[in-house]
Amino acid sequence: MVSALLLAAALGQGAPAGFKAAFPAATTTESPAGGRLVSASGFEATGLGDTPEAAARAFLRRWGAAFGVTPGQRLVTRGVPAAGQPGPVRFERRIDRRPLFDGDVVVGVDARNAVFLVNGTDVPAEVTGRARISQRTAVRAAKTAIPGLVTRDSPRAVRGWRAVANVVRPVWRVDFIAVKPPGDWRSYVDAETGAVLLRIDLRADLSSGGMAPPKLEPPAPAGRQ
Amino acid sequence: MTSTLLLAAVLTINPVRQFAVDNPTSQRILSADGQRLTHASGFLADMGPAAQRPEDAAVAFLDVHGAAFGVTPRQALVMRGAPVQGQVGAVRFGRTIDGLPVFGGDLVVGVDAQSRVFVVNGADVPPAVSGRHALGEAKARAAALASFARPVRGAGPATVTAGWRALGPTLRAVYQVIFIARDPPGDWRVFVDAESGAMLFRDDQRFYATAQGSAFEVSPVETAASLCTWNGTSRAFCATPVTVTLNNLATGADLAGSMITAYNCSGADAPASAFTGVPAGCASIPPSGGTVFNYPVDGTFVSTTDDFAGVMAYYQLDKHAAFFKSLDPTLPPGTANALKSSMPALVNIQQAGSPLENAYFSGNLDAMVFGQGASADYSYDATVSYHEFTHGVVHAWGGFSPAIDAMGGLDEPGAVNEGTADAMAVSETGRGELAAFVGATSTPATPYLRDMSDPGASRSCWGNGTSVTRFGLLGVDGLDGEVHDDGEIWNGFYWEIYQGLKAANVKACAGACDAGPALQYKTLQLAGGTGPTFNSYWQTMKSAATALFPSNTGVSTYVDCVAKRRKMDKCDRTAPLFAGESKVQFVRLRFSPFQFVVTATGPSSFDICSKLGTSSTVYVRLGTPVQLSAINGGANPPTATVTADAQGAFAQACAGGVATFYLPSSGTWYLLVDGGAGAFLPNVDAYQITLPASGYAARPAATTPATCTYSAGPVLPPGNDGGGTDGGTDGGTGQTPSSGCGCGHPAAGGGIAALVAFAALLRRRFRVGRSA
Repeated sequence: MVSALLLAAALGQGAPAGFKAAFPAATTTESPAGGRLVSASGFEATGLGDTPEAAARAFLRRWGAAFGVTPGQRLVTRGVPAAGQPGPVRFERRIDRRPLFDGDVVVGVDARNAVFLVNGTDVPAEVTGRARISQRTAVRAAKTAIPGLVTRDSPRAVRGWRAVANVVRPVWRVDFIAVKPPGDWRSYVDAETGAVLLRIDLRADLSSGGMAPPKLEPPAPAGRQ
Repeated sequence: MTSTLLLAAVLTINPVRQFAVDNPTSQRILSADGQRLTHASGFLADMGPAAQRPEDAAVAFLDVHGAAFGVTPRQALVMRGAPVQGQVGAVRFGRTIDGLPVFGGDLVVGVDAQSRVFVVNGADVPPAVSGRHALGEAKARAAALASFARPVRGAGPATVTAGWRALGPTLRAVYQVIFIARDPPGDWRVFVDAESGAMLFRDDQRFYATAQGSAFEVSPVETAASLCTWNGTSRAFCATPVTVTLNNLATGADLAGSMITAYNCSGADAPASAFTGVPAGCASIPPSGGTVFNYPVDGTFVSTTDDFAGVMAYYQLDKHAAFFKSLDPTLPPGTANALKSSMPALVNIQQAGSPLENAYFSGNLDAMVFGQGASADYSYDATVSYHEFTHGVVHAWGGFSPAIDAMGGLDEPGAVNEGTADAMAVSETGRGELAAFVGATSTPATPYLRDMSDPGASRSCWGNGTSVTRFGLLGVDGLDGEVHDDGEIWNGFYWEIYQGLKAANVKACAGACDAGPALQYKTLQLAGGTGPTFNSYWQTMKSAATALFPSNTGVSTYVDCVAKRRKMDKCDRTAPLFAGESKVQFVRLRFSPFQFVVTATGPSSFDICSKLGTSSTVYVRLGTPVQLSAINGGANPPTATVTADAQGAFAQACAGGVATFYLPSSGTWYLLVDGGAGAFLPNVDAYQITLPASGYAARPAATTPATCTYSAGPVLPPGNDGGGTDGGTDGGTGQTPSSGCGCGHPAAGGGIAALVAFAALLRRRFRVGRSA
């Protein structure tokens, strides 16, 4: 099930101060840069809809701006709980029909379709840059940014947007498995400049720390893969 | 023989109690919420001379007692079959509402040769009905096919039926969609919400096999009942394999099942790219003989070929998948494998021909990889399997995403992920030790890999000044930036919640499961797809407690109390450092995962170095955190635009000394490190910052920790006594949970004056400015 809604959130309506005034008992977490909320709990908003999704959408129409949901973002439903069960309604954000990676908004809805929680990631309002580089260029950029890379995988690249620091940039998300350095590397390549903005490892292991601290070694020298 | 009867249900105040009064010798089983019966036996009800035929007796019985079994006036009972008069047998009824069937809602009334009723069996059908059939059959079919992780291939014609299905406390309008598919293979039955199109439930009607196998209950050093003895230097290997039932196998011809498929990779590397079918270098695992999987255990634990490893992985992972489903049958959205499709589990994996000393969930493969190490097979420890499968479940619910934001590297989602994986693993064993087998086979042996009750797990984000060694560097406790380490802050918090609720016998799942894991799983669901921090995650757990236990405020109050006692509400991605202290920080997202906060009493110096001597920059800012506003340009790594009062470059390895910098004035200073390419995955580095014994605020004295005790009524929160589980202190930065950044300190605004003084005092090559 995928449905979309263009939010008609008026700028300023539902901003953090307004949300806090409407729900004074709520516990909120503000974005590091300020001006947006990234989570809110300890409140209850009732009578918003007959289904979890309807309630969540109605809530975000009213208060989405407080959580960084702007008129330029479309919200696409990614999951809803079973009726009568407390659970998450998850929305993916899209800008110009492309996904805003890792920018989902989750609205917690209880068994009576009352909204009791919002979790999100910090998505700044400022969107800068234009996508200029090709998929091929992005893949090359992601690979050359890892010195000594050995991979036999066919990289997968998807274009979208990502919040980095205090702006949203057009990016290519490039995934591949590497034999050396071993990892499931996910790189976000700036689609305008070709710079690797963020790189993470999709491997979640038992222990690279804890009782057995990770082995720290000097970086591999630059080389061809 | 099919006839329809509308029951004129007798309205009684408590039909369950009435049934018990009328049939005092009966054995009864209540529905999960205790409001209805799902079974009754041990009684004999003669419905009189007018009910000589079995079906007449059954109808007469339900006319009197149907309400006790969830039959409502809105339901019609449609008889599906009855024995001939004089024979013992079952009269079976289907239920309909508005002419549409209630799927899975049949009611069976057993009658004896004299047509006396002696048993009733039925599924729980709640009285509340919701939803309407708005979607239509074509869209329902499309939604059912789209609900699979990968495109369905070779699907035959689908049969779509509108009806109703019990989901939790309500009966929901659904479409049942049935079809046979070649890939994924199965006779699929999918229930789609008739309003939203969401897939509510899916099962495979194809018969699934079970088989006997041999596996450890937990590991060679742990049974279901207890851990083997630890004598201070080594642990006994007291457990032996037992006969287990391998459930959910597709055919029994190998270890391919509806939840897990195990492969023996016989020392091969993990797949270097995504795979379908059997991964290269790996093989399916057939029965050891006949239909059983009784492979011999490898007593050396170093074999790269043993099939026992595959049996162990299959058994434990299928068990953990069932554990999750017992907590909440709701399936994750999206296309990932966990809990929805068969997730591959690869055992006996090495790395470049060498032992692999780890196990991991691979997001790219959507599979689990178990290393064959030099002294341990990682699939031999059930807690390792549980931990990795939980990572797969987090992935399926959208993942917890690290990021680079205005505060620097946001790696707490990774720590929360690790803490959650630990939490769900120990919830299944009921003991706080994780990976005791891996510890027992290490050199030197350790009692476990992690313990939910050890000092590392009871520390707060800010620590209490206890010295610990991390990455070979000495520093005070609290956050250190490494996700498994910092995950202990969560798993320790969770473990206290788990134990407190278990001791009070608080149950979830309508009494069928422990409250702790149900709460943890719901918290995971409510945070999936975002980047949870410690502060947002505990608040999510508190909210989940309110939602799961709406009539028992004691649970959420208890969560709140434990969180505040452990100062989870102070976790704001900063860590205070005091006079004479050192602190270590692990960096892998290029920028500090938390900012150091120091309170200078006048012009002061600090020392900094890193384990590897990475070319780095330290930024300092007075009164408010350093802010990262953009990352620009085509260089790798690109230039960062940073708002700070000053910055300085260094590349000093700790083994060779320290780089010393100066802060020009008193006040609260924030420090952020940019490790550049050298601390950007796959590269990592660890930094150590040291303050001299004078020139900075001293650590405040420890305060007495508060205590939290669960009670069904309100639990007193710890208040503002500053108490903490570690007996430590808040550190004096005075931030509020809602600020997240500690902005607004009295010294804020003095940046320009400080800048001038700072420049004059620079000993090392500092570039001065507000941005880089």
